[in-house]
Amino acid sequence: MTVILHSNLETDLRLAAALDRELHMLLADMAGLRRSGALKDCGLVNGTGSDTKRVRFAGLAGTDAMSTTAAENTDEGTTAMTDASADIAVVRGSLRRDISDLASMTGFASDINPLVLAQSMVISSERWFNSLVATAIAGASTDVGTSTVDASFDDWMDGIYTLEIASAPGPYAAILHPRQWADLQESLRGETGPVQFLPAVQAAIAIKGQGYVGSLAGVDVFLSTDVTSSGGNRHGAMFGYGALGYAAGVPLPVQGGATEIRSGDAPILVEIQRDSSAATTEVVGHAYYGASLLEQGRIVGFVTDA
Amino acid sequence: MAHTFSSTAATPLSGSLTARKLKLAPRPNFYLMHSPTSWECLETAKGWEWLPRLKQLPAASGVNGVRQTRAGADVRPAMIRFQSEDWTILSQPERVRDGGYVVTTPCEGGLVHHCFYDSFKMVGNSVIAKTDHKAKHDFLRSLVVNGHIPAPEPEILEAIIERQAHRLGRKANNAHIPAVKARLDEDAAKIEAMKVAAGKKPKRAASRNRPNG
Repeated sequence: MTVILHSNLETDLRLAAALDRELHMLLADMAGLRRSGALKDCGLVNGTGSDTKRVRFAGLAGTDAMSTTAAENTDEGTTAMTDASADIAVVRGSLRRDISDLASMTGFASDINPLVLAQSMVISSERWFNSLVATAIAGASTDVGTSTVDASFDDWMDGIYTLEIASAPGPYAAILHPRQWADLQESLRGETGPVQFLPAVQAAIAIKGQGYVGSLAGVDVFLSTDVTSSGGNRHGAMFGYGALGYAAGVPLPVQGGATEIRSGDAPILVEIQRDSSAATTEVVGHAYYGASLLEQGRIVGFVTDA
Repeated sequence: MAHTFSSTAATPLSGSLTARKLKLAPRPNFYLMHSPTSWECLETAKGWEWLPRLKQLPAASGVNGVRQTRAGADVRPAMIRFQSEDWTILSQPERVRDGGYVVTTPCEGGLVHHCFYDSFKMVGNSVIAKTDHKAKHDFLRSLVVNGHIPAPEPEILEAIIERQAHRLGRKANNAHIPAVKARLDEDAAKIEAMKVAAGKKPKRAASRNRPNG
């Protein structure tokens, strides 16, 4: 008796492996700090005549208090005004993917094609933006936490106190590496007093973006794998609004170019151009961002074990 | 003349075909820098001692005012800004350490620039970062001893000790819990060590080098 076995049908009548029709995404950090509301949007460099935005600070409105005069007719001397500035240099970030016609045409209905590649550029631009911010926060001049020691709730409270002592206005936010957050939660399990932690709910994530994990003791927590590390430490940060700022540039409508796609959510430009002789389509995304630490008094580094 | 193969000096191939590069994104070159308020008391091979906390000023365009120019990242505007806030920039790495303090490791997509006391290893699909703490502590100590970083101001150390002391107060109510008591004792011992170390902080050498590396 000759039984028809699957193993006999391979590979003429059966496939060794059938491709799943759904295209899954590899595990990746899809956090978006730009929409978190914790960063100051310092505008665009478009039409400013420079690639650098100078954020200006003047010591008015309370920096210098009035003082009681010695007598009612004392001749008051002049008080110098304090001023400062911080520069945000806007630079270009880019990503290019090329796909051949044959690769496109052999795909399933929902597969890799030029439009899917163009859509993924938005998240790629947010990743790049995150890395700019995460690198900028490592420049905080005051730190809490101890080198090569796991993050603890004590460190967390030290951070809050440091900001409060500096009169940094809230709301406070923190950008941590997931490792720091894991250690912090471990420490929380051992806390004996009351601690308020509001985990992120779907509505909050929708507003603040991916990467928001909740509010701990009144501080909004955002995670990013782009938080830098060195010397066995992760360099996260806790800060008040106004500590960090970013600027952007929006590409002008492309003249004489090929297909142009823009996102309603991010100032990025994706161009799709043909290389006809090679039968390939090039998908190129451009974004223009810069991020800077604006005021040291409003930020404290959260430096703990990597 | 008979042909021999001795004249064709072969160059041994270094590395193996299967050697994998680090699964890390490239990291740009950087200067180390120090803020006068940034110190910490660490337990080293020489006991507890106050050492500077260093930060990196990376040549990363778009970060903290670093501009993108035709010649690459221009860190000078960022350096000026940090220096105006009294940071010390170690802008001549070879002056503070023979061979400099930045080394590179190949990674997917380029090079990872990192401090000489850090190293990386691929285990499976993960990258394990390791730090030679003794080398790091020796380096940090040498920066102060050789005058590249000014010795800490006593008031700064006092403020850090005071912050540490606040931790005791937060836990005092729960001292009857063994785990909390253990942490209290640990914190109290550290505060004592910080005070003692503050009295013997690294002294600057008699012949002072240039402060900015």
